[in-house]
Amino acid sequence: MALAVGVMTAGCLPAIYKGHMTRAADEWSIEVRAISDSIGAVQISGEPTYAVPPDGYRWIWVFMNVRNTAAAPRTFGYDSCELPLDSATVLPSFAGSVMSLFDDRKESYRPGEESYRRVIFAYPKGRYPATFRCGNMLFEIPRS
Amino acid sequence: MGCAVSAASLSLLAAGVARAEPVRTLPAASPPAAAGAADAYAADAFMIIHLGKHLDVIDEKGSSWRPVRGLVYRIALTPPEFLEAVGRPDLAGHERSRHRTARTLSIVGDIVAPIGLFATLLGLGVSGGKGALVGLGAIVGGVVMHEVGESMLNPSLPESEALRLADAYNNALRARLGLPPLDAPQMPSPKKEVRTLAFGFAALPSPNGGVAVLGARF
Repeated sequence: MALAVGVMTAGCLPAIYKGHMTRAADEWSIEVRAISDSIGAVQISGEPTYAVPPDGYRWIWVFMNVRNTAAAPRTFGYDSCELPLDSATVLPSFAGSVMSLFDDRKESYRPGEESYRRVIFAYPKGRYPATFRCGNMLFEIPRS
Repeated sequence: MGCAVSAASLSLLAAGVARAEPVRTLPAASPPAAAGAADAYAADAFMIIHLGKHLDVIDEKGSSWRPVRGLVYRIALTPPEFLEAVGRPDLAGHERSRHRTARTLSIVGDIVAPIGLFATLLGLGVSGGKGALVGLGAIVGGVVMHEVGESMLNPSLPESEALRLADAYNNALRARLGLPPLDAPQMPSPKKEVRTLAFGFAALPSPNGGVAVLGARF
């Protein structure tokens, strides 16, 4: 699965969005590279277990580069990322690198460090989020 | 940083005012201070994330919760870390102890079950059944221990109590920062997203695929 994800992120992944959207705020910079809902199961790190979304939901994957532009090391919490859903906010069910997931949903970044990361949300089938936000960085998701 | 930029802009404005009316420079300093307090609150306040089947059913059967610190940039905490931060080291110790027990049961179960499987296979060949029965018992026991341990990983403290502790901490934090209580009418915030998050709800499915919803109350 990890290998499959690696191949898909390389460019052959059917996507809601694919391209380069960059936003910066609070000395963080995030570049969204792809948003996809075409991967049906999430492999739990190190376990032969795949998480499937709840009934009526599907996974929405956001692939992005996260960069700490501050001069000091800082922690980024992936719970800062969210998708809107009516009056609610959907937070990631999973976050991690392409190869593994982070149990504690946060990661330390050295000054200037950038990492390619994925956050995975459960979102109702047939619904598409208009925006994706991490902290004060707001991305409007173009509809093709 | 957004507020820092705003503060810088206000400072420049104040400097401009100061040139025209030097005696009025001091009052202009308070908006940046208020913005700083709002930023500090947004960074340090707690949110409780509800993990359950419905958005607005606190303490529903089978639900759980987890804490995060910060309203915009949210950093996940363990329940014991949250409980210590809100001044309840007794509850934090209880949760740590429970978590250790849960982990121990889970790991011991993971060890016992394969040993049982080995004993079962060995028993079938050597003792004609008695050893196999012991092995089967070990398999069942190991699986049960593992499942009991896994089920104890969620915090034992009810979500409603976690929300109460978070509310109390956040209200005290607002008072320390000189901000009005959340229940009181407030001026519109320049950082709308902070207010929206503070009063909003959020939804999150559980890792095992069951429907789970997450909410934050302030």
